[in-house]
Amino acid sequence: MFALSPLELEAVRLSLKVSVWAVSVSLPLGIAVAWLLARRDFPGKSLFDAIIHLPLVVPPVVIGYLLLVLFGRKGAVGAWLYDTFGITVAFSWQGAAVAAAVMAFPLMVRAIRLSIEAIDTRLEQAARTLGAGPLDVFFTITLPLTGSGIVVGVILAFARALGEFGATITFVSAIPGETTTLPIALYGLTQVPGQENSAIRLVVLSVIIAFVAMFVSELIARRVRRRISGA
Amino acid sequence: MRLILLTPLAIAGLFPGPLVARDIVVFAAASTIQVMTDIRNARNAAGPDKIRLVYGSSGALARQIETGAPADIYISANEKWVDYLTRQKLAREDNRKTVFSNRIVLITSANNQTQSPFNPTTDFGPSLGRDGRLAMGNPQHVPAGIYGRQALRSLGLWSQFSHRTAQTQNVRLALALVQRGEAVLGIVYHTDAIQSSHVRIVTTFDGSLHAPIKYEAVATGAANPAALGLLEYLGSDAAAKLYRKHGFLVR
Amino acid sequence: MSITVDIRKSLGAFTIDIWFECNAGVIALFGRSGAGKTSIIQMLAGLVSPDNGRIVIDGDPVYDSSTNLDTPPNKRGIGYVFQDARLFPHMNVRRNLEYGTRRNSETSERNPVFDEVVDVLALAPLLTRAPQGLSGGERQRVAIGRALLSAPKLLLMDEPLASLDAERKWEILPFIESIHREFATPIIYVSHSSDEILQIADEMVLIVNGGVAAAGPVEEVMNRPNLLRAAGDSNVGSVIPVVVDRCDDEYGIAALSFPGGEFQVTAPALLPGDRVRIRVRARDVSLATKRPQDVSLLNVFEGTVVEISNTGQPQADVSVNVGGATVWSQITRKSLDDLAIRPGSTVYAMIKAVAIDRPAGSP
Repeated sequence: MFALSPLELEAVRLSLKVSVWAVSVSLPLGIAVAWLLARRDFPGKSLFDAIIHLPLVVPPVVIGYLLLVLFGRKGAVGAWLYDTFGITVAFSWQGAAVAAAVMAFPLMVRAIRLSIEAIDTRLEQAARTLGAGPLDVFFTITLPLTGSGIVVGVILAFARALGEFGATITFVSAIPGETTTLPIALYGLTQVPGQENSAIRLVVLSVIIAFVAMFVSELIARRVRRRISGA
Repeated sequence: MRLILLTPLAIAGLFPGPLVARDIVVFAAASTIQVMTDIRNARNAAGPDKIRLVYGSSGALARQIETGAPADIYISANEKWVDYLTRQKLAREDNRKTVFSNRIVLITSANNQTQSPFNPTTDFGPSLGRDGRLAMGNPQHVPAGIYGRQALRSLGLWSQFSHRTAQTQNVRLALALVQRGEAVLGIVYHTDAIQSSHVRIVTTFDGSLHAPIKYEAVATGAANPAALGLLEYLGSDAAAKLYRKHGFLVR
Repeated sequence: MSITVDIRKSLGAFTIDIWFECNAGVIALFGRSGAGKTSIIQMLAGLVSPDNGRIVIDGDPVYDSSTNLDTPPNKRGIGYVFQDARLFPHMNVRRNLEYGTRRNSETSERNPVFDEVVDVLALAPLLTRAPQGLSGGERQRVAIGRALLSAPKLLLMDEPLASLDAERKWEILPFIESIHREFATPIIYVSHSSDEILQIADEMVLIVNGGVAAAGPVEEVMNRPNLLRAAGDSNVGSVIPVVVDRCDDEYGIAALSFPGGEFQVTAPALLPGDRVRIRVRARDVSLATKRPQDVSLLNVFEGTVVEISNTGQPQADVSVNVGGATVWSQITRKSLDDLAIRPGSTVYAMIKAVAIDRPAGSP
């Protein structure tokens, strides 16, 4: 009963692979964008902010289609990538990771931005007077103090990536062995009459993974918080 | 503040619910969008009852009916789902009829040159090339995908090329992938292919290669007279003319 | 070390427009809250940019609007002790202290040694503690140490003792004095407390409404009551340098001599030979036209009235020359008229012994 079928194992493996890659690759960019939005003013900032948050308000399928138009093999960016570097993300787990990353990005940015905004800029000023340049201040003061915000951002992004369906299935379809993550496999099962049991198994699996992820992140968050408040 | 809360309610009140004049709610498989729109326009102009169309995948619609959605007529591209409803006593066997059938075709993007005439068994591989993909509905649950897999199996191509497929959750998406050139080849309904000028039919799969693609219409549940009347119309010659116009096959 | 500040900045409600040049070890910026002192310091540090002007520190310009020069704060070599300490919460005391040492833009013999600073500021027991667990006074000492250890050419202190109670203040003030002595770092000290300034500053700049009202040695500037009142100091009076002559253990009274005589002061811990400054508040000085008899006052001095500042207010300020030193007295206009006190009159300035402030640090 508890042994996983090959299909289920593959779905779990793919989900984890896609989500972990999606979150880790987008994290540096997420921190940079969050810092930009929190600390700098520039022309077009509201537009930039709105674009970042698009995946939160637009139907996932629309985002998936946009990704197809941009990054598909014949897409504006995708064609260039293919011609110049020979790489393509269409129809592969990398594409699924891109879709998951894009959908999870605004959640990550929001969490990190909030925690950057909560940092006392006067501390950063003090660091400047002690000889630290702007980059130095960022890495020695801002980033460490943002610690818990980053953890929250990563948790949210990971959870969102795990559950990502609409954009993924539109952008990269379901490719057995490549993009059949838990949500996509689950969807397939719900479309066939009589597969309810298998569907429920996948649901339970998804929930267990989500709980484990939350638990681990809570541990990390607690350690980070202790470090900040107690040297 | 109160004005802000009341306004949406007022606006909603301008649009009375479906229970005022007698509406007939039709749940129809997504691949029948165009033809059912014509049917609706014809019937709405001709009689007092108004038809409201709801589209979706056959499976999703069936599940919605199962959980109580107010559909009067259900048109499915997959007989399994109609069986499902009759088994659950949500529709009656004697209120069920085949309305039209379809063919599946192999398509490629309009500006792509392929072998002509096309022999599936020998020309399939070369057409896909090194890294090309075949877009098709998910053969686990999308009817067009199910038929597509059957056809490829019959031709002895499935085991060889199944890993080269890009499986979409509906057939329109497969069509879009081929239109954009993302997928080299695609399997869609004949009715889908003829609507797009950006794709070209490479070959039509012979009907013997797969189970018959029949679209069934069934009146659900209580089956009021208006619904039965529509069911009657769906089997009429007038309707048949519209079916043929859109590329469906009628006996 | 000399510093030239010539800057202007419009801050909405009012404008800062100052020019001063100072050449001393500890320079005080004195003025009411809101007069613009903190803004000035922030511009010195480079945290805020003036609208235009020049700032030159020890011959090096760090800001010059005519050449578009605006050295960033981390390159100015200016240390800053903030009013609220601003210790980094995610580092312990040692790491806070060391933060500036690795970032010295230049290494020189001027670099204070870590252990020396820890010693002078008594930070040894605190090194492994987290900033959150420290008291206000401890935090300020760490902040001072941290700024010092970045080997600044100039140390700015923005009301560092403002958030401390009186006990703590008088505890830390000696530390600040010793910094200048031990490490020869010039200090600009912002305060709205003339007591603190008296203790440690050599020169002072009086800031009133964003402008310089007076600048110069502390004794000179402090001895101008009208100015000081404008700057918000209610303790106006005279500042007189004295030398400790002898201490009477039996009565706990020290004799402080100055050109006009001897002050008798109840003051602990003074050694004969110490040079100190004392402040005599104008309102603690009464005048008589005849030498008083049989009174409890220990300090009565004969002197000549130099000037009377009579602005029509109920109180007037009278400056009396006592053997070369100036003593200010604040009396009612009525008494002025009743006693017919005029410039040139001979008067007797009477000061209650206890009315003299604790002797401050060395001039």
